[in-house]
Amino acid sequence: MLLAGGGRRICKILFAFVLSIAPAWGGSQSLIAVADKPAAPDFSLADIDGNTHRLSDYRGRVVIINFWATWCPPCRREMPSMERAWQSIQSKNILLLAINVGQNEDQVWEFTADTPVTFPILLDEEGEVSNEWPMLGLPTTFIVDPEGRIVYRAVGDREWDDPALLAPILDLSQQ
Amino acid sequence: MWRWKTLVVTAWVVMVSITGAHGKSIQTGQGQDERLFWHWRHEGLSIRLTQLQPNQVRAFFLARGIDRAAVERLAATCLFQMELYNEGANSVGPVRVPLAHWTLKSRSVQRALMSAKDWMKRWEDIAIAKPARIAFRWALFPAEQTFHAGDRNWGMLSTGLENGVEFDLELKWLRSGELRTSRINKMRCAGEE
Repeated sequence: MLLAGGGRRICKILFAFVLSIAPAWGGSQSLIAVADKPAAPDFSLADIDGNTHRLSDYRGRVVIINFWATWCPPCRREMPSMERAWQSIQSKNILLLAINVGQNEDQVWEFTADTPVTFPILLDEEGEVSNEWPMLGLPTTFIVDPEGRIVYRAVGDREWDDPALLAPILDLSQQ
Repeated sequence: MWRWKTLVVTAWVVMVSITGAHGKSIQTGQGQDERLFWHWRHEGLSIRLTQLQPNQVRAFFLARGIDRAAVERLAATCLFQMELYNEGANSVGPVRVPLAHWTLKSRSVQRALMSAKDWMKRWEDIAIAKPARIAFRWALFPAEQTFHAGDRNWGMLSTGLENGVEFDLELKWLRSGELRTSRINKMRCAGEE
């Protein structure tokens, strides 16, 4: 009876405390503004459909560049939200390129069979392009402005269809 | 009624596993897959270290194309999965995490963590294909990285210790250029299943 009444209150207090100190992983959603806006290193890579993409050909558009690998859990985790974001931004002069690091076409196709995406997936099999970009972990995502400069960066996965996260990208595309 | 008792006891165990000194908390526990984890949080920085079992290490690196002999040397040592997150709870700027300055102490011996470079030296007698080298480089937690608010990263931490041993880990990070340290005591490497 005690637990049915007072015990429940104790439980609520205990769990409120536990929740207040529980891990807050995934709480903050933000892009980091990159100081000095360095020029984005150019590249020319084929996608898994055989089309070649040269970054400098996309001047005048905002380009989201995501570096990832199929074996990287946070990379896999953010792909569905990235696809949802792509569905809402692709008509707004924004391009999304996902660059796979160090894997081949078959390995990527195997992943997309389970997690279908419609934005281009480029292959950096030798890791040469990823070495040129200022990053240390996967996934890392860069936002390149219409002048070809890196203006924002996100280290680690995000929920990309979050309107608050997309707002500064949409602002760039409207400038 | 027993369920409420269980809930109270569980909540209490979680609470006492947390130390509140100086705003630091360390939560330890066991995941659904029975691997132990240590979750350290301080001043908006969150580091979660989870045991990696030797068979998990083998499966992951063999699938990346690393030679079996090289994988066996990896699996014979103690690795953890590390997730680091700058929760952005503090507005005092980015956090720099230099793993090269982290130390661990086991059986009274202090040592540094093993880096990707250390592993390449240990594998000098084994041919490692380029795609496998690329995967290995990206799978290990970076040797040094700056985390702004909201940044997070994931990777493996290579202790270089034997499987199954206990150790204390000293964490070091820089906030606003000031070196900070903390310690997680009595961590334990996974053993062979």
